[in-house]
Amino acid sequence: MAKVTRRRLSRGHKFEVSATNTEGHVFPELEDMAGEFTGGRISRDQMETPDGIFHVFLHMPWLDADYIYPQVGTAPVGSGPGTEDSNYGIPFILPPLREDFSYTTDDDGQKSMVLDEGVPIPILESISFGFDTRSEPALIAGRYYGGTPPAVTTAAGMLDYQFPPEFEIRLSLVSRQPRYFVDSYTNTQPSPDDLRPTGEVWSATLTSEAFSAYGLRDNPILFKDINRAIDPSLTYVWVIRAEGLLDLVGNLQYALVSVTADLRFRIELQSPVQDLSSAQNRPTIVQASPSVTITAPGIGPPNPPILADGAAGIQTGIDNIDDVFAAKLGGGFGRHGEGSLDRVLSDYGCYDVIAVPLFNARLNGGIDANDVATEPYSGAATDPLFDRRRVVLTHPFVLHRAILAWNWQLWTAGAPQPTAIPTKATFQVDVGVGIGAGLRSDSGIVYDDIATHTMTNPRTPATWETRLIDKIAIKRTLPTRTGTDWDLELHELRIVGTTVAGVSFQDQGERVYMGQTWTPLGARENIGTAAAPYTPGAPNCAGAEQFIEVRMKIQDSAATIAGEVVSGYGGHWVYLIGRKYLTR
Amino acid sequence: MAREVTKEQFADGTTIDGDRIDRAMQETVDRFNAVRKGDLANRFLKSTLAMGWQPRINASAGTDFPFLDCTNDSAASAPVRYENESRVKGIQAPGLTPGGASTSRYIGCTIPVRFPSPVIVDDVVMMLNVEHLSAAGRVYTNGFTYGSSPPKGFTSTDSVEDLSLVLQVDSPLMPEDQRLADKVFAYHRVQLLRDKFWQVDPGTPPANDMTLADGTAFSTVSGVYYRAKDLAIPLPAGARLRIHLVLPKYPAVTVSGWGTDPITMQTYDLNVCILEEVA
Repeated sequence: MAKVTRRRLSRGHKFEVSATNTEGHVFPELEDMAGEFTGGRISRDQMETPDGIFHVFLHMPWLDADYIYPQVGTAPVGSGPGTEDSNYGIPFILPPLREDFSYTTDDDGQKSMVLDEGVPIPILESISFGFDTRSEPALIAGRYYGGTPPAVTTAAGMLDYQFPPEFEIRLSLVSRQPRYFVDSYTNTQPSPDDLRPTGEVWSATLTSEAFSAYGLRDNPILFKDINRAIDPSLTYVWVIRAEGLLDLVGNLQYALVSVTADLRFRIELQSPVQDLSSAQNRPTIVQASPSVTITAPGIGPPNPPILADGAAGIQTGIDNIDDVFAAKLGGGFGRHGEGSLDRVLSDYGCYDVIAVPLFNARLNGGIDANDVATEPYSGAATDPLFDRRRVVLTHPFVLHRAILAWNWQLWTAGAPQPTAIPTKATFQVDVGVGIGAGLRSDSGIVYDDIATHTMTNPRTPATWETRLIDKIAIKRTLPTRTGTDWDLELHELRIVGTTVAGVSFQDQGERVYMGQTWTPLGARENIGTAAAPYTPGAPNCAGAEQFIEVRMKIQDSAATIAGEVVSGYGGHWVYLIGRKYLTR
Repeated sequence: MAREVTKEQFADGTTIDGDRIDRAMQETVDRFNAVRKGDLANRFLKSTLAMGWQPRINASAGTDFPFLDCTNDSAASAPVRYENESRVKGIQAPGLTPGGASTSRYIGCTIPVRFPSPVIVDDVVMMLNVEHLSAAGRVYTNGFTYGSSPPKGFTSTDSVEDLSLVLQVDSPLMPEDQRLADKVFAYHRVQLLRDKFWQVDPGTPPANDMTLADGTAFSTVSGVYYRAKDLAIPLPAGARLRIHLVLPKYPAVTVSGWGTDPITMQTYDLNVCILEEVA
């Protein structure tokens, strides 16, 4: 029960006060309300605003004309500009949080996610899309302006006000069923068509008028009131198709700079009870609900049948309910993990996604075997490549899963053009997510591992696809490998800690709380170490974590062969999916 | 005395009748069963907009993307007119004049985003990361100090104060005229070394590094860590927000730690934390 019902006091009806306060007038309702407050059971069903908001925010430093491959000449019929080779895709998935995640497996080995009515469904509300044109009605000249990729010219960054009026950008959000949920007996060798998106959730085309007018342009443009339900069991790909960036006739090659897409979702608020009882690294949770007392008048003479004032008066009872509203209904956490000492809400948690980009600003868009020795931190083809991002923890966040979007998308590069996936078994990718503390302190920087993943030998599923969710073909021309080709992948990282089965696509450690707490709440539960068997231990950050750090290392200790892709155009993403809380 | 859930008041010595009781209870139950947004003590949810990138190596042949010139005074094809000769407000730094010599420029990374509903900008975080001084093979080496030929009034060991971080909201009436944009957040002319990751060198490597250790290449985080929190900057529905990070581009490497290829002197992390109401 969250809502209350009441018996009407109709004209001529005798006012009743029952001995149990279940059948009478006025006081049963007031006691029900008091009980809901005291029990902290005010739910989303009785809120006028029962939904929270989360974003999938995607910022790419640039998208140049070389993202289209192949471009000219010997390209197979049906490929090149004007086809799916003009697609640029960023995949993601929005699976339910742990307590809502379950699937069934039928006799054919096909898994199906169970999505009952209790599973919150994200609703895509709006999309903001924009890029930098230096606040002018112009396009930005790319690295190849005046020439033909991959020959770099010197005009990059210049304004071009006279770009072709037929220039347009097509945006779309497409979906497909992940490989994880595909029958593993009858479909072990998919064709590329089996790996392509099958549904379009939303699309729009921006024509040149959006960027070319003086006085009013649609950049950034906002598409709102989309209101499309998102299936938590599907993979989604955000696709940008800007084939006008490439001009093989006039050689007017453009670039989209600071390409920014903000996908805004609405989703039902949820109860976070299991976060508070199970999360690794959780602080001392201090919460309390108010004591709201309703005193009914006594039954029968000499008690009067009705009182206005006094302990058992109607006014007093309503006042006690009113006091809770006047003090505002508590629920949620402050910046430093302070719970509500007057918590009456049960649903004060909300789905959240933090999208973290990696290897997204490479000199040549992507990295091929020829580039490795000249990348940052590298001096030889066998050296490791590193990248890392930091995200400050401003409010408490409980990580439920971390998902890697790995990218093999081809681009037009110098000779030899990369066209294949690495052949060598020594090619290895390591991803790590940690929390850190010590910024601006005198005590040093410390970290705790949160999630890790290692993939080796991309042509061998047994070592590369150990935690695979999906593989997706988004372009027409795909990097070749043995058998079927694709260019995007989703993998699930392994959260540290003792294995909890059945809460995610792959075995996982328990969810992880992160966020700074102040001293009284600072005592933390243990956290698993990164290396198997993930033995729990006291966290190094000790309740002082200030930031999330995501690292990626790519290395082929035997050197990737020329003509092979090391890192796809525009880089990769790690999605940190979890729960945030109402705050003030 | 109840004020929130019902206006009916009952007191000894006044009338109390069924209609009034019924109305009071109906109002109370209605309010309880449809809790308003304003009834919630905490009605906001945070979202973190995470941006960041690792630029090319210093002096490598390449573009400045995602940085672009902040002054619009030349073009690959002639415009009817320049609509915004200066696209970011208040970025002037010592020794640099916008629109000056071609080698003296301001270059800005502008990240545009638009929100359908009101939001509150709560935190703005900027990290300019370099490797620890003791690390071998440092790639990103900005010391954030002026050099042997500093601008007038500075010495070679002074912290630079020439970077700008600006959040501008386009005017709702003249959205393309950046002179009319509302500058809702500004970080100008601040000594960058005032905002370091640490004041006392914590040493390297970190005391407890991640398992995916960076080795000597990354080691302990160093550089500039700036965080403005509890900002409470309200943005109206439909606001077009532009996040500008502006670097100085000096004509000589001796002016400051930015060198002449400033985008390559550090890696970048930008976070903007927004608060939104429940819906």
